[in-house]
Amino acid sequence: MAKVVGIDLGTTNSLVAYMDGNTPRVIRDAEGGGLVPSIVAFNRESDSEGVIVGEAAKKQLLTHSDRTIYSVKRFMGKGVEDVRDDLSLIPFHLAEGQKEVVRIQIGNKLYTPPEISAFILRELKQRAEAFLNEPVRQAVITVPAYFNDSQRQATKDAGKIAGLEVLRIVNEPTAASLAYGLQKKKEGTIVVYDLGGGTFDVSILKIKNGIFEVLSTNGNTHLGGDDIDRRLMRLILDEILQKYQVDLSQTPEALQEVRLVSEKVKIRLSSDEKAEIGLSFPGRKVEYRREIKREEFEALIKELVGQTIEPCRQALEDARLKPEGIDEVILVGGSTRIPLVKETVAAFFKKTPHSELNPDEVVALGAAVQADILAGGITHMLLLDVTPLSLGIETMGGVVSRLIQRNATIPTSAKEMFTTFVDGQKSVSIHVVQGERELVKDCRSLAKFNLTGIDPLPAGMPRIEVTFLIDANGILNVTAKDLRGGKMQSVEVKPTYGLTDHEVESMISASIEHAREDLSERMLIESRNEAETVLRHVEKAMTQGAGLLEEPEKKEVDQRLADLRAAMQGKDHNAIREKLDRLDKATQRLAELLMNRSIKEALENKKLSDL
Amino acid sequence: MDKVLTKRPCWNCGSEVDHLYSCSHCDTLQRLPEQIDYFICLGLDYRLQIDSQALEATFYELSRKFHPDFYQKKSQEERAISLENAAMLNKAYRTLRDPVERIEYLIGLAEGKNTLRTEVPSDLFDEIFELQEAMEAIKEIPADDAAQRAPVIASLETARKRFQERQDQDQKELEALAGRWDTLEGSQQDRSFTEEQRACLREMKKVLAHRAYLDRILNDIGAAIGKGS
Repeated sequence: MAKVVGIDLGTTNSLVAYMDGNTPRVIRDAEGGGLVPSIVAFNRESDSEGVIVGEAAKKQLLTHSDRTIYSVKRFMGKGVEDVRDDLSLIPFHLAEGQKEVVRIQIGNKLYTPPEISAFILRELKQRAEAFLNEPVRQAVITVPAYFNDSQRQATKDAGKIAGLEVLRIVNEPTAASLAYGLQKKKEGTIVVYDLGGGTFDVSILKIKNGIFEVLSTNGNTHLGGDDIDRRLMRLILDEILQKYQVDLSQTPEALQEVRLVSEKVKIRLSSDEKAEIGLSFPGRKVEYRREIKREEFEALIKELVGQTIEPCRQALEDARLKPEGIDEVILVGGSTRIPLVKETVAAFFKKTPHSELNPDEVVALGAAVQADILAGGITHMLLLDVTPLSLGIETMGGVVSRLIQRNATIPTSAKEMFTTFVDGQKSVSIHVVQGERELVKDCRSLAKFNLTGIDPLPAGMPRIEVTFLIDANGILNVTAKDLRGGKMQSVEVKPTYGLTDHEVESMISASIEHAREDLSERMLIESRNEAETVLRHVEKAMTQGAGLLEEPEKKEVDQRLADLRAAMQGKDHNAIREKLDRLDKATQRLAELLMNRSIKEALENKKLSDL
Repeated sequence: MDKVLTKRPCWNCGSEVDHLYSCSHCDTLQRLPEQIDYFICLGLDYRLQIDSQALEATFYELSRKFHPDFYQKKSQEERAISLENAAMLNKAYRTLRDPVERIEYLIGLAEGKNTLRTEVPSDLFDEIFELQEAMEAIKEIPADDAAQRAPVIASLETARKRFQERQDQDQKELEALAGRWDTLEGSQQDRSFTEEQRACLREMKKVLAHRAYLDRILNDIGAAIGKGS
């Protein structure tokens, strides 16, 4: 049975895990590291050839800032307007004039966030294949619980582009609870507080008889460790500007260096009371050095950490619980290592939170557990998750008519009847939004669904029943039925901030072509390497056995050697193989002669008694 | 109450199915009958006082039968059925576990859909008039003028308390009516309710209409006073 892997596609780091018998395990590299930095670096040709991912790409952050993409998760399912605030602090370029989907410009090529994420997923897939020694085709991928439909769909698209069948999109905090539940085997009501690199989630679950029932979830998909780093960056950039009149925010490389230093200082301050900040830009006569105390850092980020409390309060209210009703609080995500975060959570829920599970790995482990459930391995555990946001449709005057309430257990569905307003009208458009506000303009537009091919009838006569179904991935599916004829009505989807099926298809085929290019590239390198080895051997043999060959034979070998060298200059690995074969044939007699001679020599050097 | 009156052919083997969701012949999952309601789905009679522990246990048990997680490797049709059944079950549980939504749903079954309204409780006309004046007044006062805000907020707080009490009273009335409903003789299966049952539902409806109005008012007061106070 082929393994289904669990993937935590994180803002800062990504991991892949699998189920080893009854135990979920993170797949590690030779050095024992499980984390793959979610960083994708492009080489100078700005092509998908030579794309590097992970630690190697991280090294390029400082040298090739404009071609090294990090934290791409923050752009998933977003339009350019959504991320405008981020632009001032990121060193890579977003293409202008692309409203519906953010596109990142590398040289003269544009990449969507799902395509960038697909590079990370492909790396994880390869890592898993190398470790498990078998092809990996299916995966469970985690997303923040508070991700909306577009962000989930973008993640699923990324999986497809990477050549993975995404069996399930599962929420990060719930995945963590599965890993926790499997390990602790405890029942009760738990809170999972998940503060990662770019997103914050809180989920409240009831664990009973192997059922993990999510009671409520809340969060902020734009709040995490990155924002904490930015507070420090601002401080440093402002101080440098004041002291040296140098504005580093305009130089991508410098900005990246400030970011990396900020991140290090933040991590240091989780264990130490103070940390040293040192930055030197000799070219601009900047020698910035200062000490920062934990207190000062905490004052800087207090407001950010405080922003996580309102979602916690709302989640409690939606679950109809008080802090006293919570049995345990579990911390997930690297940012929960910050002492101020722990204190804030403890104060709000009135209990010491749990942090004995590795907060970086628990989500991937949980994804592996869910993967095993779907593969039919584990049968006693079942996750009942919820949709984080209410779903509605636009009605007259831009008002939202709510069809599905937030925190409804998924899968769930709602049916609505539609008709026409004009005689002979053949299509009806439905605008679907997500959010808690009353007006369409304050909610998140998901997509327009067009019911087409309606029989032309007097206005109001057609009766089309539309079913809005949110599946177990938290993704919306819309189907329509003509109640008069009973036949299914076709529905065209125009996602507001996503890729159409057609776009995803072409990205998949592009990536398959690239995979083919990648493969031929590898075969070329391999054949060249082999040719070089053979060349060395033949040249050596020719000097050793120069006297053994007749002149025409010698000429033949020389000719073949020249042919092979010429082929090696080209890019056709088949041609190299062919010349290699010919050289091999031409040198067979030489090899035999050399062999005979060496046997003869060996025999001559030995006495008969030794034989 | 696994048996339903609706018999239908099994989509897979064609033999007759009289079970809610399973074919006794080939053991494949069946679509829940289209005409069943949330009560039947969760194996309940048309009762309003429900043992929530037992309801939860039924929900978990049926979740294990329907959830798409367990049909990943089955045929496309069975996967689709699992998805539809699970969606129905989740909606049914969500509705019936809440005492008020449970009553609203029952009224909907008896009367057809969307008959619930909001209605001003007639005994509160004067208070509501006063309240609206206070709400208008507070809009005019700048947010930082605490001295001027204080008396208006105090009057809003008093109103809030009074309306909350009225809502508690409605709640008790509703519970009593639910208790009365459960003692009434009536058909448990085909929704042909007796006149006595319908009268009881009408009374509950009136209380619900008040309750919905009070909900809205309390919400508005909360917004006017501001969060945290």
